[in-house]
Amino acid sequence: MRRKNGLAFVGTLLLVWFMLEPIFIVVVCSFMKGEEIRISFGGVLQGSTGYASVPILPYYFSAGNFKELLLRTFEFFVMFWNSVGQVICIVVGQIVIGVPAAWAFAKWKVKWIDYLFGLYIILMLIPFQVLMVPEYLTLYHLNMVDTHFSIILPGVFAAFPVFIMTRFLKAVPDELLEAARLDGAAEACIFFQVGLPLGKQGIGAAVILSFIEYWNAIEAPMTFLQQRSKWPVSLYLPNITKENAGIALAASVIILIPTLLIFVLGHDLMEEGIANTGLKG
Amino acid sequence: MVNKIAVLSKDTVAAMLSDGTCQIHRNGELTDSFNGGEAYALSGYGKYAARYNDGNTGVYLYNVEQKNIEKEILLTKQYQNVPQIFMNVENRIFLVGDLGIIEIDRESEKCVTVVAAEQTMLSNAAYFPLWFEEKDGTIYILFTNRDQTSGRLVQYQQGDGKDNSSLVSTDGHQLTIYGLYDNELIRTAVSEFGLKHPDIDIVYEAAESAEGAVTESDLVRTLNARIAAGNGPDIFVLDGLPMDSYVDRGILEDLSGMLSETDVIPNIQTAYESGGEIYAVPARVGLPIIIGTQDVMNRSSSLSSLADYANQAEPPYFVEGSESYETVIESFLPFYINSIVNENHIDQDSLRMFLEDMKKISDSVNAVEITDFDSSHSPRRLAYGQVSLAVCTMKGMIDDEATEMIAFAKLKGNYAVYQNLFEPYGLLGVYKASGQKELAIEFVKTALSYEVQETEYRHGGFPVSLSALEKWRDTDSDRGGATGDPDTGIQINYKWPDAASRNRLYEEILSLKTPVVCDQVVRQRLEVSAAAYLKGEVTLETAVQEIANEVDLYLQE
Amino acid sequence: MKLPYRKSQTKWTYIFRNNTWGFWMLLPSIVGVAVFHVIPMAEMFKRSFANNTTKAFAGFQNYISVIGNPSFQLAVKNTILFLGTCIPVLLFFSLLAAYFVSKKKDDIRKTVMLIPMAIPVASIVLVWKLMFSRYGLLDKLTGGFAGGVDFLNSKWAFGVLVITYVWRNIGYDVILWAAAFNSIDRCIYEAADMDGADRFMQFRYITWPCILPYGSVIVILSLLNAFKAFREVYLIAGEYPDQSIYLIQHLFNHWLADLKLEHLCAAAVLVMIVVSLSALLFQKALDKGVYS
Repeated sequence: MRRKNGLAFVGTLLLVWFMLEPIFIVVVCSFMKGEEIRISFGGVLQGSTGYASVPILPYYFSAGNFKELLLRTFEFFVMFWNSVGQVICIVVGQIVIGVPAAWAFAKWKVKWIDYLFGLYIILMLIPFQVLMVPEYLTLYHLNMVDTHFSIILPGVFAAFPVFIMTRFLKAVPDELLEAARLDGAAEACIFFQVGLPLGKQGIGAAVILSFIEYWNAIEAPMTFLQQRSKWPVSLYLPNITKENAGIALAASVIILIPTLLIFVLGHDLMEEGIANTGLKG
Repeated sequence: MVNKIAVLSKDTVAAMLSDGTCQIHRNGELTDSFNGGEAYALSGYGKYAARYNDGNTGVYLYNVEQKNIEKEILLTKQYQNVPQIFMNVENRIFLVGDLGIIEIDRESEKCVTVVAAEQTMLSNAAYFPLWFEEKDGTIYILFTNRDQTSGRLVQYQQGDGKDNSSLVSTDGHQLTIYGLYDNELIRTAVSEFGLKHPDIDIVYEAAESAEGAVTESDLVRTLNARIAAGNGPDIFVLDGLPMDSYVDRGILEDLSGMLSETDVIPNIQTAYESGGEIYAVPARVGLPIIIGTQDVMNRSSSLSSLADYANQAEPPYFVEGSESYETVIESFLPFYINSIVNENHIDQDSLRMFLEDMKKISDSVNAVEITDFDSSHSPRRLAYGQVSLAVCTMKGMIDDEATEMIAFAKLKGNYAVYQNLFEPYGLLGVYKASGQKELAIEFVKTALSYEVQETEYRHGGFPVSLSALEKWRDTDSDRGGATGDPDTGIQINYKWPDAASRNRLYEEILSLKTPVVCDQVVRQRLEVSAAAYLKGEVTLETAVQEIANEVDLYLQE
Repeated sequence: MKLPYRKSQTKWTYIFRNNTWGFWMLLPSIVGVAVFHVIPMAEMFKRSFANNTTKAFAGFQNYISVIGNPSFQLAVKNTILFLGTCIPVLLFFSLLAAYFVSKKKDDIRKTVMLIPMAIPVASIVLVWKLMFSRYGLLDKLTGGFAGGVDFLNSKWAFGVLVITYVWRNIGYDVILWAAAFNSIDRCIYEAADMDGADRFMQFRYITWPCILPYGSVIVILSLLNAFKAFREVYLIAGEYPDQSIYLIQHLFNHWLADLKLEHLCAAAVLVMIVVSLSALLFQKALDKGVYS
């Protein structure tokens, strides 16, 4: 038994290392001074020579990159709060609009509902490059180009969260609903009292996934927002050359933090939501 | 030598010397001095003087009475490198330059843009602010041109420029100019055009000027999405943009009508002619040239014979071992690229020839992988006798580099323009579906006009306007410079080219015919793969095949 | 049984009167989706049948030129190869991992596997370059017998891409598979144990058929993530990557950069049709009894 546990432990360690190694590297390197980064990275960065070496700990620990980033370039702040604003609006909108729709897809027994859902699936799968130009056209005609709405509204009406939430809500047993209906409850009541509570983990999962998606969005903001002052922080990470590697790494760490936070706080919700699909009446 | 003087009070004067020290003189006697950064920016009043700090990242506020630097105000990155500092009688500090007029609040150390530069004299590269005064919200600046032969006194209200659009009545007329890169000539043209049409709001968007996670291709795609929606800019600065695609798709307006009213030299006009119409015109041109000793130049009639001679040249083409493969390729590529790249595919024979020639040259100079040294094939090394060949691009008539190139060529041998090639800068085009087409065309005309063309721009290229060219050809000057080789101690003085040289260059410009293929994608691919071949990582045939495959893939899309 | 509607009403009146709740709940979403996504899609269809410069109707001309375009053919081949490799690989590994993880209800491991999904792509780019490019760590390791390889710009690039995809998405699929496992009643396993079935047989006859319906969701989501992998490829390998990883989105990007919109739209329509057909077929095939 002990041997098995030991093996499992080693296995876990390996797993952790394999999965999280890039984060380690990024965090460690962000605390290095520019010179040391150049030396460690060697020929990988443009304009240098030599093999790269594995950074485990910085030789000279220095928070200079962070200082430079936070105190001297206020565009980083502006972009950061842009991201926060845009993503929160999108996620809230997705819940408000998407949850009722998901409930309808899951529980409304109408002949053509599955075909409509199929349409949503198709929409979900289309890569952004394909729709980029026509969406720009639409937004242009609505006079929304270069406003925050050009990012928020298409995000609110995305098909993906509806898809996820529908899957979870489908698992709410129909018998429960029938019972409630026979007791005379109105549909709205059923939705709020029965559907929402039981499906809330699924909604949580969709929220987290959406957050990750839009926090790291690159193509859409770049195309639809002309003014840099409206750009989200995901567009801040510049091309990494030997000059700005330090700042780029520091920026990466800061951008990473909210996502990790949400993840750590929310992963229980997410996993429970999935685990609870097997609810028996 | 004194660069600048600021009169602080009736007995105190601050003087900035050319070595960067600022001296305070009281009643005619030197009382104090302090150091700092930029040696051309100094201002002061009363008991304070202001100048840039070491490293030009902030401003020193120097207290004359206490004889110390009372305060150092650090500037955020976007406000660094503004050319001039001025201080008014209330000791308020202003930075004046092509970003506009920016006031630094002494207490909070924050910068506020008081007047934006975009459509004002501030962004006109032909003029510099010489004198400044601010009183009750009105700012007066005296601008003078470089030769100090003319001046303009301009008055600004706080909030002028784009910041306060209610002051600038636009009547709904807005002209948008889009370019990937910032271009000084365009800015000057904006300023000139703005003077003639004060009621038009001109927006010049130089897309790459800020940092970001975007590549040039991303910017091009964004621009194209706008064009597809019918929302393109009125004027394109086509450097780096897919001009051929635009022409194919009828995005650009025919400029031949307007061009016949300007004096743009005819050979440049025809260079961009397609189907009887002219869709683009460069505002400037550069000449790729080879300078070499007489021996080398005798063999320069064909590129291959030039390459063959590499082994025998004495002194060698480039300093041995200090040239990287990439720079060898980069320097010679402009001469070969036009024959390599066709409409739809790569000409493999030309490509093969290019690769072989490059191999000969890089072998003969023992090229290396990466080098941190200055490129060894600069004309200066030619002048010092270290090399027998220099490959460069002549980018301007007033640019001292051009003066050097002509002088050194004369000294050591000769120079040659190859196959009448030229590099276009500031390639201008007008959007066919623009709502202000007439205005846009007029703007391009302004950019090609004598006033804008005859001004100097650093590394800006030669003018395309005949009158500006002729003016330069007929101008004598005793400008010049000196350069020395630290190793051997050779000193070379050079002067403004004489009439004969200028005439020759003039003739060369008038016979330019073909623009060098500018396509970045192809260039990059060629440079990377060719480097691999030169390093010996692949054979010649493999390299040719690889390059052909990749670039054909691109050309066939 | 008591009828839910009064005899005086017909069945249809009942449905219309009492069953419209779904309609109202769907409405905001449908309207928004229509405006922001369906209309652009329709515009795309329209453009694919029109000549770009003259805006005149051009029939199937664009489609013909797209299909005949050698770059398109290469991109399609690569994309299909990529999808055909990475999705099964991912499904296999995530299934394996889920099998071991779900037994212990182990939170840490699941969380750890999920984290790669949350890392912004741009951060990964630098690390990947560190590891895989010329002079990178892997190159250093294999420097001896491979003689300096740029893993990102050679035929190995495909492998790097698959590894990247699996690394990023394994957590996602593990969670889903684990959920699938957990939906099977423990009692069945106990009963099987008592009947003497070993672990292999249990897996084959109990686990596998029960989780199969979940497979459709997992495949669709994996497909979705596979398309998103383009962003990584693009940031790491640039505009024109090695030929083996030249995907269809690269081509879309280039067509847009050259303003060849009619080609873009025609190819997009083709891709869309193929993808949706496959996805829906998958769903139909695996969806037996998933809603029960």
